[in-house]
Amino acid sequence: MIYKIKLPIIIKKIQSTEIKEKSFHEIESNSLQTKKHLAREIYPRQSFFPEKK
Amino acid sequence: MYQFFKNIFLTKGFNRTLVYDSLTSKIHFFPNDLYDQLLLNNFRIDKKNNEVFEFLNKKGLLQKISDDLVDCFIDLDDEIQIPYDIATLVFELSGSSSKNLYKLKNQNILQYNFIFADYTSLKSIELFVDFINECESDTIELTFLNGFVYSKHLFELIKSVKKIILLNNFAGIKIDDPSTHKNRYLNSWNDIHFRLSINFINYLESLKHHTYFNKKVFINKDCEIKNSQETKEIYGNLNNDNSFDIAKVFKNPTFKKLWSIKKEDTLVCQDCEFRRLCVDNRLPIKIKNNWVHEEECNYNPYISKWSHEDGFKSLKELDIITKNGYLEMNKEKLSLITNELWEG
Ligand code: SF4
Repeated sequence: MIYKIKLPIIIKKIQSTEIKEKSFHEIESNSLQTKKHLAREIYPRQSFFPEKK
Repeated sequence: MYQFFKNIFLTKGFNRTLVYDSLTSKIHFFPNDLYDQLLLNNFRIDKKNNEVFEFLNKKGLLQKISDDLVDCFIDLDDEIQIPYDIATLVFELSGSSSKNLYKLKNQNILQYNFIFADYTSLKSIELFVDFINECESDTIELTFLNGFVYSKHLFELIKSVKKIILLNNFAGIKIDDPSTHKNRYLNSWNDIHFRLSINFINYLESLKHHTYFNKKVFINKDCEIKNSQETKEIYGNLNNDNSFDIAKVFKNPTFKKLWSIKKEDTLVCQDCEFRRLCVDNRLPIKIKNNWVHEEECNYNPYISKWSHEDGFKSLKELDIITKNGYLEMNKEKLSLITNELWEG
């Protein structure tokens, strides 16, 4: 089957927004390229949120 | 023919589909229209369709495959077993709680998060250091809150600890660490880090569980045992028994009541493309057959904006209502607002 679709312009923008992609790449490089990733690999998530004042 | 690598997972949200690459920990987005088209063709892609092929292939998501091999790549099993009774034990370190730390020694606990605050005494730090030297956990997380004044003393005492130490410094205290070991990591957090945890364990666990409340135990400074800091019910006191057995706590039928509430069952979150990678400490409440939250998330999936981003509007501002146990919204108005936000 050959697809014939046009990515809607607005949605295209949503998916390609630089700001978001950048934020996530930062998370990625923080966690992948340092040993912190290995540490967090065990059960990697935020387990405590400070109470809001 | 091409297909997605088997380590690629898709989550369709309200405006867009999230693509999670579990090998590289990268996420991408693509339009829901494309998701629907791919679904029709069992997520197989013909190179003749240049636009879609180029788009996905550029992101390294596609694997070339011949027709006769196409059934040889089975989907990854997306269930996870965590072979511990408790995945995270969050422990407020006070004079009184630290005296009971030894009772945790024989429990089946994966990792600890110790909270240091104004209630943390010098003596409790010494008991804490004895405990971490003996416990089996490889990783210890330390969280500093306002009022903790003994950080110098603490770092002196843990100078030779070889375990991996993760630090959450919410108090902004000066860290004076004399250790030469490279086993300390300072977590930096922003709004997105707080909400999302982009890793495979989280992705798998979220299929059937609430990734914040599941397999968590919280022991507060007065030794009260709860599921988490946010929950109200108290299921015992570490001070009362000479021995402590988590199995007894778990026997209480309500202790685990939040563990299996999935984002799929929760209004708003079920429309969010981040729902499989999200860690959410808000207490869910049940209205009719749906779970809802009283407080709004800092991400609005209906306009694909985080609260710190330009153009963010809250659910309230968009007249999106969940308090009746179902979602009420004006889709036309919403689509106008989204178009306006993302145009230009
Ligand atoms: S709306 Fe917020 S809490 Fe809900 S799944 Fe999305 S990011 Fe997570």
